[in-house]
Amino acid sequence: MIVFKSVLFVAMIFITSSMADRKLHAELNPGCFEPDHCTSVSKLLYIRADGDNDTVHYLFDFTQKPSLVIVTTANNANILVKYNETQSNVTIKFTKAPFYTFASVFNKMYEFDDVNDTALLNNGKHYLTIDFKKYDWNMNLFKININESVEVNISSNLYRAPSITKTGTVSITLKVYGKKDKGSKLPHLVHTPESGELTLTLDQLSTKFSSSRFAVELLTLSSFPFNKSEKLVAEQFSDDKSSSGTFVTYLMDTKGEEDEEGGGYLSWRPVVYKAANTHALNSSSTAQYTIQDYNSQDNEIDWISTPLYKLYGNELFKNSYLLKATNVSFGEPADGYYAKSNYLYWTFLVGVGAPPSSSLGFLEMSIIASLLLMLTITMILLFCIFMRWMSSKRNSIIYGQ
Amino acid sequence: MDENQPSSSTDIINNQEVDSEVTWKHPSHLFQRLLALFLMCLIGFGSYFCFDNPGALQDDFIQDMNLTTSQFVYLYSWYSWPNVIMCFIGGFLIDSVFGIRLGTVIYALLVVLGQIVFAAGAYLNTLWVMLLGRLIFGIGGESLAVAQNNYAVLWFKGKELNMVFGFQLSFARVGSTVNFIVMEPLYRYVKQHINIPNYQSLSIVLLVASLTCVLSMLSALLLAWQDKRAERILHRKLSVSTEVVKITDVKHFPNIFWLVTFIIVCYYTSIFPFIALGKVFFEKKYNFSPDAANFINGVIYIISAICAPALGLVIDKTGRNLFWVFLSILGTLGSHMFLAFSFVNPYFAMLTMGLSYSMLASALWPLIALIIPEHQMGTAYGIAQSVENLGLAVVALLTGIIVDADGYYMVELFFCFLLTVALLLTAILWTWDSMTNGILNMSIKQRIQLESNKIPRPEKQNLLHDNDTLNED
Repeated sequence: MIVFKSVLFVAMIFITSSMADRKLHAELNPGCFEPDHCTSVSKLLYIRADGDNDTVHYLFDFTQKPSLVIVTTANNANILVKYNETQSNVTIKFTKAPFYTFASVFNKMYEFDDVNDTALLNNGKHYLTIDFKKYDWNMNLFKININESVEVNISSNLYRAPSITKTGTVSITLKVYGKKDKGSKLPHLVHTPESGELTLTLDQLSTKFSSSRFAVELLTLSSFPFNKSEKLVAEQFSDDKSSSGTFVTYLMDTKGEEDEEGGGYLSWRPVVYKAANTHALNSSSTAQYTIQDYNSQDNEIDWISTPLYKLYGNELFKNSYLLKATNVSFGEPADGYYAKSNYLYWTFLVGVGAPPSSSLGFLEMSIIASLLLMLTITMILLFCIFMRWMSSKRNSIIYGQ
Repeated sequence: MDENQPSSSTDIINNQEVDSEVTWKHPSHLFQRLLALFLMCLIGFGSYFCFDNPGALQDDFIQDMNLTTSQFVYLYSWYSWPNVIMCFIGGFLIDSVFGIRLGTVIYALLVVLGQIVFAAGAYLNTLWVMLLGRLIFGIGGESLAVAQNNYAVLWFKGKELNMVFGFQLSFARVGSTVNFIVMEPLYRYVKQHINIPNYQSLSIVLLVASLTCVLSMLSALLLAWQDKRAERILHRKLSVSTEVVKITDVKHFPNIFWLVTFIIVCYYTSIFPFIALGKVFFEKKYNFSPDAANFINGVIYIISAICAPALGLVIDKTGRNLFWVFLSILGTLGSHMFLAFSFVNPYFAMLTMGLSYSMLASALWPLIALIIPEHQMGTAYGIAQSVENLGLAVVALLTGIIVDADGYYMVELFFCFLLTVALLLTAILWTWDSMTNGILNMSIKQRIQLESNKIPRPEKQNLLHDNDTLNED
């Protein structure tokens, strides 16, 4: 097994090094000359991933609603942030017009009383809405492994709403990698240099109901105005490679007419884990819901609390962008609700371009190849046995034996 | 888990039939023999029931005791490891030290003790105590199977022995199946009605399961009494073994024996470790409820319980063992491929696997009897089972690691790989056989013709014949 693993490891190095890699560069509040002022009006973690043909910019903003904006531009484009007096006046521009923008926003979290243990958000008896912007986000970890990965963790245990008391820690981790590889923790999602891996962790969160479960509402923006609805496609693979026991991958992909691709996507496996260092069986499921439009006037206030407003201003609401929302709830029937573990984490991928596909690994290919080889030899041997049997039959007919 | 072949050294010299009218109280009366058969079947019931307790409660074990899959499979590998050598020793001790009656009772006692220690380990939430329990249970269980077969030979040799072996295999499978069906509901019941930590609920359920072992021990005691009485009334005497089983015999075994052994190992390592991990696989991949997952996981055993005697009869009537072996392995490979690469309802795959497994048991094990001279038969079967146990222990460990690291898809691929190796080895064996005398794939008619051409040997003439149709596993 160790030999197999090391062969696999060598093969992975070979495969990944042959992929198009990107050089990573990361900084907090880019272009800021007055750190004290900047941090008071902006919490923007900027990652730049330079490739041969283009640059992917990751804007992880947690000033209000934690959001990841992925912008693709030409190679030499730079980000320009103006740190004006107030939070709402901060603007973000690029020196060259972006090719494409895709974003995902942590908008709201719902706590629902799942009295019938169906683990479905719409069956909840009571609801509590928690707005992500009312959390006071702080950065705990900012780790750069040169040209390999950037890891950022933000968390908050302070919820600023007069009528709601919510103790416990909510944290979000972003990981961006320079190469195609799989994540280090379960469910080991396969990521590309054009995607960011976001993990939401709910640790020791106080619950309002006896049968509390949680759900999140994610907003997505796509700058490709297809005028068609964004699709949520659940792809089912016959393998649970790397994510032991989870056989399905959900892909929420922006697609135009005739399944035209090229936009952004969210991708996740319908699984949440109930402990930090865990194994496959200490898990529960997620439930997915339909995608809704999120472009009415009532919704504008939510978009204003995101970096997208800093990027586009009021242009955001002029129907030139695809604004959508979707919910994902955590838990499955009979898993003991959130309170059983008082901990869960859910990982998903936000990316642009082609979603990472499940490709044949080296070990898998070797097994299938050796399997086919052995089956071929078996067939040849069977053929020989059959021919011998035929000739002995013939002999017995001719010689009467 | 293996059902051992009878020890060839325990033969009846003088099994006098009383031809005059006998009452139901007489040991040679049909009623007495049926009673003995029933008790013999019951002796194995407890150990087979408890053997798969961890499989039936897999996710509960893992969650309640906070185990990894690798740690979970220790519960099976610690059963298998000691039996790498215990298959020899258990039978030997019956022949030379304890005698059949005392031996059976001692082994049945070990099984009860092992299960109780296992339950105590769960109560204390301590893995090593549980492993110790499984170790003791394993030592008792495998030797009990040897004792059970020895009893069968003692009571039925020259009469209905093959049918008796069929029944024993069926009953063993019934034990496993009942376990898979009742354990989960029982566990839920205990959890709902008794307010204690989950791992202690687990220990209560295991303790309840140990009652089946107590039942087996009572059967062993009753059978010992019945056997003692039969010995007295029938003036039955046991021969003193003349054949000394030596470990050095192994050196002289022909290569094709080892080929058959490797086929056995490759085949069974794709069945038993799969069943051990199957419950969670069906829950995760096909969204089965725990009960439904346990049921489908036990389908192999149910089919085996129903079909083993019938399929044995098919082999008895047709011969052509290699053909049936090849077909069985191919069927199992197809089933595993369905499970690995598709989301099609798994019942079809599991039914095919169950039929193939039952057919293979009847076709593959008698090959050893055709290859090895009869006086070395005990050693040969012992070796085959030891190597099988070794394979099972290693593969059980490996599959646990693969599931934790990579998932069920990789494990299924691994099983497909093992079965393809088994298929290739069978093709090689078949080729070898067709190039030599072809005895392994003869029809029954050809075999009888061959036998009649031989000079009959005066002693133990039909021992080979009896072993020929033994069903193993």
